[in-house]
Amino acid sequence: MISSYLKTIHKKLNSFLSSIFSKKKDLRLGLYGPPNAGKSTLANTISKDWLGEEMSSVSNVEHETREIILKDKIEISSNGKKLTFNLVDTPGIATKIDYENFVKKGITKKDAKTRAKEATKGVIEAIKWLDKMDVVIVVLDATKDPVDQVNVTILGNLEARGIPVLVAANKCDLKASEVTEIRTAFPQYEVVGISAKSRDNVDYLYERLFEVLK
Amino acid sequence: MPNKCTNCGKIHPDDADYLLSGCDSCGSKFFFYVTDAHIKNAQKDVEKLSKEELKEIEQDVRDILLDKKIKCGVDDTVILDFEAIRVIAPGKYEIDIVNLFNQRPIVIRVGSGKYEIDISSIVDKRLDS
Repeated sequence: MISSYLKTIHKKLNSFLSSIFSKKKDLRLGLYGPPNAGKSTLANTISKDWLGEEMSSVSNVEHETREIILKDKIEISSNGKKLTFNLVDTPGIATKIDYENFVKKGITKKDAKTRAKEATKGVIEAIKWLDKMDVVIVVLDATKDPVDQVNVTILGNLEARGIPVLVAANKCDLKASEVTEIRTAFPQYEVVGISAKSRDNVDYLYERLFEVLK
Repeated sequence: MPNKCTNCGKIHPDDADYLLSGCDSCGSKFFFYVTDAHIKNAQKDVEKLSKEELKEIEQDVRDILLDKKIKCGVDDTVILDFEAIRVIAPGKYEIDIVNLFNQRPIVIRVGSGKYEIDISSIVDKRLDS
């Protein structure tokens, strides 16, 4: 009887103390962008850098990530400063999804149709999650023309919602990459040229992340 | 506004009763919302797709928009309203991301007709869960 009474008091005290000392909710860092820009590769690089493990599957076939993938409590540091966040890898946002493109890359017709359906669902999910983000890295493929409806719409909506943005111009290790084109297209944003695959300039990306969150 | 049954194609007048009880011709509760101006086009566009394709699209739409976590299944009425996603054929989608970002109701269009789905409340419930 007394033991159960003490247990109840202990439980209530713990709950009271944790409510006093609990920190503000964890920061959410979202990776957004068109399909195959390298969001999942960057997610893996960040996760490997700070947790020593990968978090997402990557593929040359578009729409490999079709569901939101979360990695909690990633603590990064740069120049003596520390930041803890939950990393959110999102499905690529696209305006057209056609199963025939997947068939061309060797996927069976049935699986390609399922992939197209899941990818469409993924676009909806990614967009619905945007309001939950505290900061977003928009990952763009630096070998492609940056001015298209998807990129402009994502950046415009982040700005309208007042969510801090950092643009990662990915695939800088490739000859065809043009970081300056992205800077010219979106001069109002901080653009960092990186290669998530070969980890080029990723440390600078971390550095700039602290800056956009100031 | 009239609604068209996706299963048998019957166009129902502006009357809410059949939305609850199902199409009086086949019992389906999956409808395309059509404005008077679009009735002719809607008829033509649906006719372009085979019955199998329409069935496949209907299942895909349910898979995309309805979640197992929420109580909305095959027996629930789905009315197509406002356009954000267009299903050209099974496995082929066009997505209006501007509408989605603006949190307009999620919509599906089949072919080039004006067929849409309003499931904003369903999506909100899913996010809250």
